[in-house]
Amino acid sequence: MRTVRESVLVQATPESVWEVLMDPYYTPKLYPDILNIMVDPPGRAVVGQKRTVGGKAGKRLIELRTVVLDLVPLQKFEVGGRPGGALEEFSEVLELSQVKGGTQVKITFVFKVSEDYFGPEFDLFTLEQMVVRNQEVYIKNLKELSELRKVG
Amino acid sequence: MPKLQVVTEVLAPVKTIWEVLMESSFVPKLYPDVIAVVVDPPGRNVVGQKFHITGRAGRRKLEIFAETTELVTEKKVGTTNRPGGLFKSFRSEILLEPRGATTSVQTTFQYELSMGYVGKVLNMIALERLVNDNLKAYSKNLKDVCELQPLPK
Repeated sequence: MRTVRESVLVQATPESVWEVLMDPYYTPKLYPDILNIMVDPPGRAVVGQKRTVGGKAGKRLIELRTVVLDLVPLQKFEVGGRPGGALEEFSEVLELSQVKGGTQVKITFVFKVSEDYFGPEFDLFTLEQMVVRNQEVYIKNLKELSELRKVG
Repeated sequence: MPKLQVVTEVLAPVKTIWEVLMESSFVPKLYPDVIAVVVDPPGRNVVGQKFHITGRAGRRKLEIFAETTELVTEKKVGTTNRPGGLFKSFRSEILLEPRGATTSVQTTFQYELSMGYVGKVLNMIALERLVNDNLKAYSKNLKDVCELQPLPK
């Protein structure tokens, strides 16, 4: 099991960060190797919303299954894994706090790549590195998207 | 009105490409500067499905409103803009032609930016270049996504 902890200062209000987190359709833009997302029920994040995410590992299509576990408006967003899919274990917890100059976002990712899903053809260490890279880029992209301003 | 046409040979059967075109949540991955898409009604593409697209130009968020106007299964997808947003007018047509294991994809975009929307904030020439870059990248990204292989059983 790998754990990645990051913290970033977003130069935007907690409301702006929260809007990005609540809209599941931002997900393919946040993670570089995620291609699309299907959510049930459709629409904004709600506790219990199931997410089926299509992604890529090299030139292969993969699938991840997650569920929204906890939402505390403007403060906490938590997503966990569901059985099946490329990650045997998955947890993503984001904590937001308003600070001078914007919003401090603390993120903890915990994951384990599923050996059963990938089979012996894939190198688990390479896959782990790929997941870590996606999570690092996620934070950078979350900051960038939250800091965008509307035209006008 | 600027017109852009790109023909791409995709190393995948027409069914695979059709599946990507029918699933709106792929859109942000196909256009580099599209960041999110909300569709009404939710779910797979149907004629009349409305798209509310959020894009970016530099540090600004842009809105695009569009609608699917024509679908011919595994052959053609037509999309037109709706009032408001970045485009005064926009029309895209994607034609699929199966060639054995591969598919020829012809993408045609015609658009005119809305001066009223762009206003004083954005540079028109830079924005036209950005739109052109996105439309060109669309064909390359569509090819990349469609050519991915499932995991071996």
